[in-house]
Amino acid sequence: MFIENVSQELAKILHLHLDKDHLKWMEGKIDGIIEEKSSKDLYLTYSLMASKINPIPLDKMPSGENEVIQYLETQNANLLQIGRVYLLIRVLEADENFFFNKVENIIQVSDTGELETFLKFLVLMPNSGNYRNVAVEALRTNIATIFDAISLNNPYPSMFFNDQQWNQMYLKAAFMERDLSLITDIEARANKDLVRIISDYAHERWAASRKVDPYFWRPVGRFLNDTLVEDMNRLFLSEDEKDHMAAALACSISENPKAKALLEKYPQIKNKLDQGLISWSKIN
Amino acid sequence: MKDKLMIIDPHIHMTSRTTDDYEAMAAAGIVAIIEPSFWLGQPRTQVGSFQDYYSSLVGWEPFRASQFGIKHYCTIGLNSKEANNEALAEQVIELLPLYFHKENVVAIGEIGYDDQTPAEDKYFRMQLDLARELNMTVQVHTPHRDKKAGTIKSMEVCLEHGLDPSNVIIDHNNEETVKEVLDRGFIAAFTIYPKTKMGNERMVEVVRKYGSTNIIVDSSADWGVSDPLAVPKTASLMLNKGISREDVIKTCYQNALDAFGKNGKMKEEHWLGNKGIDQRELFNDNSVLRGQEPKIEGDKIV
Repeated sequence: MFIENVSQELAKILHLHLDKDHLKWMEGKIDGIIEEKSSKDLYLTYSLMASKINPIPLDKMPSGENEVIQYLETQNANLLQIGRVYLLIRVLEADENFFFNKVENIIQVSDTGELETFLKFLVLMPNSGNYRNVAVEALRTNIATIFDAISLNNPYPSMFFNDQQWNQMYLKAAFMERDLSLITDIEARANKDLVRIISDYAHERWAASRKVDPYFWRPVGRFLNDTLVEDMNRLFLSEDEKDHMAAALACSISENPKAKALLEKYPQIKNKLDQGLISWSKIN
Repeated sequence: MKDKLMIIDPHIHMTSRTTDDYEAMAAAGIVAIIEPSFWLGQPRTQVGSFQDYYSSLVGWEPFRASQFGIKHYCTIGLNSKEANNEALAEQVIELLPLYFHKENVVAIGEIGYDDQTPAEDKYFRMQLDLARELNMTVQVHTPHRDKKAGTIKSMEVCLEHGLDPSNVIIDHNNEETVKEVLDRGFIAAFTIYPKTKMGNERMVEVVRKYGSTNIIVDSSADWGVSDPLAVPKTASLMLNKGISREDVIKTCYQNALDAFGKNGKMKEEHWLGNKGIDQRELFNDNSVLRGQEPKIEGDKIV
């Protein structure tokens, strides 16, 4: 999805925000690391970034629209994050064979703030598919900022996770009560297994007299089987209008005649749907 | 206490303590803690064990503390006991620089002497050189055996390696060592163990005699018999025994903040008033508490 020249774009941003001395230090170090193939200097320079570059918000952006800049804005990137990512991308671009393991090591020993940075910007790394293990490992955390970094507003999971990994992420996001509307490509990545998982989880919640986030149903439409049609009926009978909306949206895209018939039973809701008054963004 | 004091415990090994301790500590007024790297009761045999331990001190443990409203910092170093395995110590020394700049690391520590062996001396000195090079605060563990000589030697070696004594905290002092430490311009920390070493009563007398400048109280609570509430209890006792409130604040809060705040990582604003939105979201989100329900383990897909 991302254009080339990520490192050039990041360099432009750094040039807009850093003073001459810091720029000179950074570029000098990077040239040295690449020339000497020095993992020691890479580690030290990476470590020193935190004392040389402040994590301030970006208040100047290079002119011209492009995907990299847009993505940095979506993720509220700060200057220190840009500096760290830039360093890693530069050395990988120069010699991925040599530096890949070193970068993996840096990620392995990251603290919470650093790990958040890596996960948010994995997608900018050269051959970013190589970091899938790091990304999947992050799904196992109970630290919300880490989980959010990989799962929310981030195209990486949709690009690189297999169905099992995607489903693991989606269910855990619901478990941790994250804002599901911030997950990218929910409908594109919907699959039969996930829909079964969603239904099972809803049954569990209902059995414990607990609510289910109506947005949680977003992936089910194309996969409504008899069990799910029953679930949709339960949503239509709920007291929460957002449940009705979710059921209507799911039934409306289903090929299952039972789902279509169910929607017909609620003409008021169907009318609203036909008038475009119901959408997933309204549910959130 | 009437007006509740804010307390800092600048030496406590929370990795070994329970969430009940965190709750009690927060209730007793502890707002921030520092967790020094130490040994785990038996020697580690692999550098990977050190790496994972340090990673937990900059990752999971600060998060766990945040769930109870306590700000967690740590010090990173190779402790004296494990410096005696030289082959392993070499690898650990190589690993350390990757951790010194992490966001909650306030000093190199706890380093120093245990049996005062040549190997302990070698790695203590190596880490003091790192501290000088990186301009970092040092937290020194003084030996339990042959304490007085070990304490004096620790300070002499720090000076020999060009460190500024006001940037070195000498820990586990007692009545026998405190004067030497203060006279040389170092910071003197006292560990309050229940029924051993320094008790609360003895601490009150130390403050009465030496005042509150450059004196810090801590608990060093760990996996042994120890008290995570040692600092707030000592603060209470000092007030009851007529030590001035100002002296209590200095020894149980401000001096620790000044000493460990030098590298800019530890700031009062981290616990005063509004925390960052993420922190509060995490705190109220309770994701860790839900995650700790055993049934959730069984709910994992993987």
